[in-house]
Amino acid sequence: MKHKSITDEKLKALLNNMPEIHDKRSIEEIYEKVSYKVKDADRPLKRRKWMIPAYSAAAIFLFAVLFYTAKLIIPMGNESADQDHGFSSANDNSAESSIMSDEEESQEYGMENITPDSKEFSHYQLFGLEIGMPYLEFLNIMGEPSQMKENGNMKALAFENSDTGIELTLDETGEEIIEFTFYPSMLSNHKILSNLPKNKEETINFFGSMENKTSISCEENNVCEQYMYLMPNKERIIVTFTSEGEVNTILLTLN
Amino acid sequence: MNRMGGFPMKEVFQKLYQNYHQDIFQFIFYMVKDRDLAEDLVQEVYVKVLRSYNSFKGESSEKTWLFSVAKHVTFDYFRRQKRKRKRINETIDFHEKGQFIPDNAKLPEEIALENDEIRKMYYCLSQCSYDQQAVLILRFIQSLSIKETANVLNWSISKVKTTQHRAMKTLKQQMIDLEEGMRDEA
Repeated sequence: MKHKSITDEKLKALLNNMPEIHDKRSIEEIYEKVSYKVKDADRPLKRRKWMIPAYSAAAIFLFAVLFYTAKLIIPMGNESADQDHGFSSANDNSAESSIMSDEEESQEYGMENITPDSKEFSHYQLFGLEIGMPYLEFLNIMGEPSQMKENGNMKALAFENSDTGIELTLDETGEEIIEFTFYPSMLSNHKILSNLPKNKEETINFFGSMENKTSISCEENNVCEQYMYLMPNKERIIVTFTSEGEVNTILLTLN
Repeated sequence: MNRMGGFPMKEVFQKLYQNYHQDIFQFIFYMVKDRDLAEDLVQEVYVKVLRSYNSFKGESSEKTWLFSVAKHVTFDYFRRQKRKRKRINETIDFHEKGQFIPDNAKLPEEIALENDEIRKMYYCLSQCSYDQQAVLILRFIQSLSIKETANVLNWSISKVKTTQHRAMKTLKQQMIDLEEGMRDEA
């Protein structure tokens, strides 16, 4: 068919041949408009500049007053008790949830359903995510995506207005997740998944030393490394790097 | 007198204009696909750059710095548009796709004069997300390297690569859809 003739090279060549677009105005015309705006913007800025220390001093004073009055009203005992509780539960639930406990409270409520006490875990967990978990539980932990695309039993999710950061493969019923693919570079603003490793060193710190190291061909004749990890219940984690050694994808799968 | 780093403003402006003006204008134009708008936005770029020229530390090259300001100005414009659309209660998904609707009457003459394939590409480009468009334009129309593109967009190299890969996939799919659509019509 005709489609096969559309190669990456062809598309790049086409883009490269897009016509040059010129600004037809003269340099004087542009300068006049620009300089007017720069000078205009300068004036209020100068007035504001010396005000900044005054504003900050006022803010600091106000904050100090508030802080001390608050301290008088709320006994300190309560605060430290709360904190103790937070720490001990974080220890129980391993590293994953210690990151969670830093998050907003609403997120913690979501966690309650999936703490080890209330459920038997059969699979390796990555930030509370595991193979076989229901999609709805996944949303509970990760929050609502800013965008979701579906294609058959695949779901592509984007968070924090970035491009797709996670791809999920679901089982035939469309309810349980059987495979995760993470794109850490697209998740740098996500409250939890921004903690995924982004380079080789972080990968080794995060997952330990790999079971298996291979090289695959990628991106136009380059070689990219892949680290493979075997988890206790036959789950595999495959981290694929770019040719510069940054993490491209992290795959969590049973296959 | 407006002086920046010892140079009068006009001198700095002239230097930037001579070295980068057409590149920056072209980048903005291909992002927003509207000449009048590109003219306004490129002015905004100069205002921002001239006002902060003293604080430019040369950490990146002047060229990537200008492109990154141009990117910010352009995406700020898209964001303002999105807010406006929200206010008038239109439910258009801003994030995913450009808002450009192909209309031969609005096709800039540079594109209208080109062959069919270029016109198709112009349309397909508009169907990519703004992030993808930025990568495609910087990489293949402006011929920046992956590293330069990462600096301009303030992204990691792997984010540029992943976005580029996805953008190529989107382009390909759009091209196929376009051809099939035309075959169906015939």
